[in-house]
Amino acid sequence: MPRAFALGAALALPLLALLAVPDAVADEPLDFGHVFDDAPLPVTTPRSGETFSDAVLTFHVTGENPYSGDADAIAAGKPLYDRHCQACHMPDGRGRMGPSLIDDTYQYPRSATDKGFFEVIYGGAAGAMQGFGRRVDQDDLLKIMAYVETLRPD
Amino acid sequence: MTVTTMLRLSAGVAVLALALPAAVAAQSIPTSTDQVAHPDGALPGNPEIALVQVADGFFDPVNVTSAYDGSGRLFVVERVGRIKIVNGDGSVNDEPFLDLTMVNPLGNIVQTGFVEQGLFSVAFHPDFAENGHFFVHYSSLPFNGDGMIVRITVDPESPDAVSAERVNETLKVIMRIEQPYYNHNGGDIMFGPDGYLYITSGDGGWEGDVLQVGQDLTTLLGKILRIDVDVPEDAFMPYAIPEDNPFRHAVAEREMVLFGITEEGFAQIRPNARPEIWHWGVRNPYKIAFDPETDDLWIADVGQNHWEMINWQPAGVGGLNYGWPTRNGTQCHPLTGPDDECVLLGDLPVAEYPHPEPYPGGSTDLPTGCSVQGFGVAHYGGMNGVFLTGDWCSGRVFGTGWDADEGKWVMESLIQTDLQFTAGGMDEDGTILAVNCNCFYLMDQGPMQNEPGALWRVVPADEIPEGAVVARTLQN
Repeated sequence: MPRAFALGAALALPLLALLAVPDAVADEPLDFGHVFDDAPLPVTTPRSGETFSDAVLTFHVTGENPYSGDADAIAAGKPLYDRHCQACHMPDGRGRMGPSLIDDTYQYPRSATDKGFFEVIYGGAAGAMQGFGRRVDQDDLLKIMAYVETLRPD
Repeated sequence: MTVTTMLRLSAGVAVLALALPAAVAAQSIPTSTDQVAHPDGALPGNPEIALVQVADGFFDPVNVTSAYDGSGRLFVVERVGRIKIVNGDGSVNDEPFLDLTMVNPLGNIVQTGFVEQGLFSVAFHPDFAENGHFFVHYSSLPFNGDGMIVRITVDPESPDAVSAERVNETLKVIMRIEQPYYNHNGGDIMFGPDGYLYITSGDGGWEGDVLQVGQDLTTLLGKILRIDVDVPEDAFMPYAIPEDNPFRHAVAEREMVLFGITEEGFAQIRPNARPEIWHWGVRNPYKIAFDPETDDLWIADVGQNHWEMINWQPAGVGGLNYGWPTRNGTQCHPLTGPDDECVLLGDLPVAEYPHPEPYPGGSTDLPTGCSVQGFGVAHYGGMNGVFLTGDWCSGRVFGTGWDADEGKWVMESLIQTDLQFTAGGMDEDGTILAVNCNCFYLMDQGPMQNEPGALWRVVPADEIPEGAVVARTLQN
């Protein structure tokens, strides 16, 4: 996560706690869209055999990754990243066939946010960046996101 | 012609030159790096394209072609070892045209263990309608991944499905290319307008041409090959060497003559060269395409870490050296930074596009990709001899062509899709086709485990049929 966004998120969270959380928790899930054309992504429909965790249900409503900074989730995210992501983005996330995940430039500006990052991973983007929502549970996607955050320089 | 006449002629030419604007360059292979196009250009005719789905449900489709027999059938190659027929109405036959997974009691004869391995391509003999011969190129399981090019003959009583028995009865091995590693097999085969079979052969794998085969004329690896398969059935060799292959005569045994041969003459003696070589110095050309109007040859050569190349060969010109591994396109190899300097050996590409990292630690504003896959040469929709390619990583479709008004090569990124392109081809009417897989470099995937891919047709953006499935494209 870029420092600017991390700071923004840190500031926003207390405000959310004061103002928006009661509504947010009770609210409907956010609309998730494909990064190419904003076509709706069916994130509230589990894939075969998938049961949504509390983290996933919360994420659908808040768009913020509950696993961010969670040591257990990060540890669980590493082998998932190594299995699904490193072939293109390299073990350290600096990218090669796929773009860097750790610098401060974004192929798709929305991926600077948790929600936008998830939309790219879940729904896919260009070419080889397929929609991993078709083959990986969303809870695992959130753990991968939490792990990728740790690859970024402080 | 007398000297006087020559002088008059020269003067006349000089006057003419003064009276006209500067001459526009003729279409030719670039001789300097500034003549090589990058994907920041605009193609003449301002083509706008879309990809319309023809059919889907193919397992790791990696190639498509026509038989050019008037049937209108398209043949989609599935990596596992099958070829599926798509009929003119878009329907897909349930029964495969060819199924190499079932011809051997011990199992598949195709090695698919790595994502770059499998059945690569099919090419139909120019006289297929009469002789029923077609050719396939695959990585062989019994031969530990070696590239196998074989001829099979269709039973006229069963034109849409070649039985296992028929395969075993008619299979004739044309060539086996030893593959030291599981990647960089090249894999394409196509009959040229000259009736010869062209074969693309990658550098054999690992990376960086560790075996240094690109410039090694004694190996078939890292080459474009050209052979004549029309030899008598009882001939000792299953193919002949065309008379004008560049090393056809250089390899001939001869008595040694010392003192008296010119240096140029020595260069015509290459006893160890492989006479099958047509071009050399390529890295991993997955796909080639002939221009159906000019007979020019286009080569989509997958590059190393930083750039992808588009090579162009004027009709009938063999013996080009595309430089690998001494360079990668216009870039030095190995590339260490933006200001590297080196001798750029051989014949330059006409166009190239960068990876997200155009040199170690660098970045670029140009449209990027990571693995170029050739489709075909388009002569419609405003395109006049435009070589369309797709990128396996970025999903972009690039067009490369000659701008006759400006006298320069042009490359344009036409659209960016969410498709993982593997190859393309052409139907009998000259419409360009593309196939995409959903296949990864991951250990747990296999040719039947990935989500199916699809076959697409390139159409002008204003001619999308009503109700057609159109490839998702990035909306800017």
